[in-house]
Amino acid sequence: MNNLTQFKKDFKRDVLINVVVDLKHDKTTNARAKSLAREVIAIFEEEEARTVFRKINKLAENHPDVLNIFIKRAQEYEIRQKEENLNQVRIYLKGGVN
Amino acid sequence: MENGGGSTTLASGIPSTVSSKGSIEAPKAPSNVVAFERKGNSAKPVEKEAPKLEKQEPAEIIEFAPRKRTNADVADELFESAKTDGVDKALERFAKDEFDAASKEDKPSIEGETLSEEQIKIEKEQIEGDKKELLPVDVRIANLEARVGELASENKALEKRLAETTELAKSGMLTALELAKILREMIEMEEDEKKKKKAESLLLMLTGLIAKMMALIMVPEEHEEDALERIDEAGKAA
Repeated sequence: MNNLTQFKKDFKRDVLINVVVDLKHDKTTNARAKSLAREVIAIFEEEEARTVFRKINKLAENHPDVLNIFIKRAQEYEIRQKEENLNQVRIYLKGGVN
Repeated sequence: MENGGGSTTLASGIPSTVSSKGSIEAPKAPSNVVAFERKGNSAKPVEKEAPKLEKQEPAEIIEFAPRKRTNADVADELFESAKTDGVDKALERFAKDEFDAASKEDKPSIEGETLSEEQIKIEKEQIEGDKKELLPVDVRIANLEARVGELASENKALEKRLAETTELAKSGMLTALELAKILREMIEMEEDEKKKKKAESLLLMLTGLIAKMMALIMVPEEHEEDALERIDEAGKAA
């Protein structure tokens, strides 16, 4: 699975869990939760990682929970990305890429 | 009184029956007779008053309004949907009001009922109010802190890039200066008849190098003035 796709999947799951918990404990309104869901879906229609991160950062201004999820998931994304890059270097050093 | 059984009337005037055995059975009172009022030797049956059938108003029908769906109900439904259909589908359904649509079917709808503009405005205000309420000051400060941090890190990256650009420009200038010096030597070489041929071929190579160098040190418009100043300074130093 693509690194960005994995990020999107994890992020959406976290947002959904947050929405469910917040609604259950009346920490948010139905309208606000719905608005968040719509915005997240719209952001994840983007394919470019930089654009996705920029938009999430903007979204986090109004949703503190989203900021927490973003910090957590972005770190994981970075680790995966580093690993992917290192793997490419390993292949290159072994002469696997022309 | 007849022996074979039959009906007779007692002195009291109460009709009685005589059984085939000859015994007098107690008269059976009509269903509406509840007691006998004694008047001398006679008893007058007291009839039960028939219940008055008053015209009653129909009992008030208590209509139980359908239970309003709470946020918790929606949350449960969303969670169930996520378990069965997957996160993506559940989130999409939630965003498209599909859970609410189900609840609207339960609610009694008034035909032609539409939300007035005022109601819409009030709802919007409520949503905005919620937003403000849900963002405490410390969270806002934390957000701002994160943004300032991000800007600072971007600024650092920009500084690094600028430093690299300056380094590159310096190295470009030195190379150009070197090329200019060689060019001068080549021109002197060309004047010498013995070295003319060699000088010509070298000049050709040099021209190519200068052209390449010019292409490399092409400066963007916003830094043009600065670059020209540097070129002037380098020229004076040479």
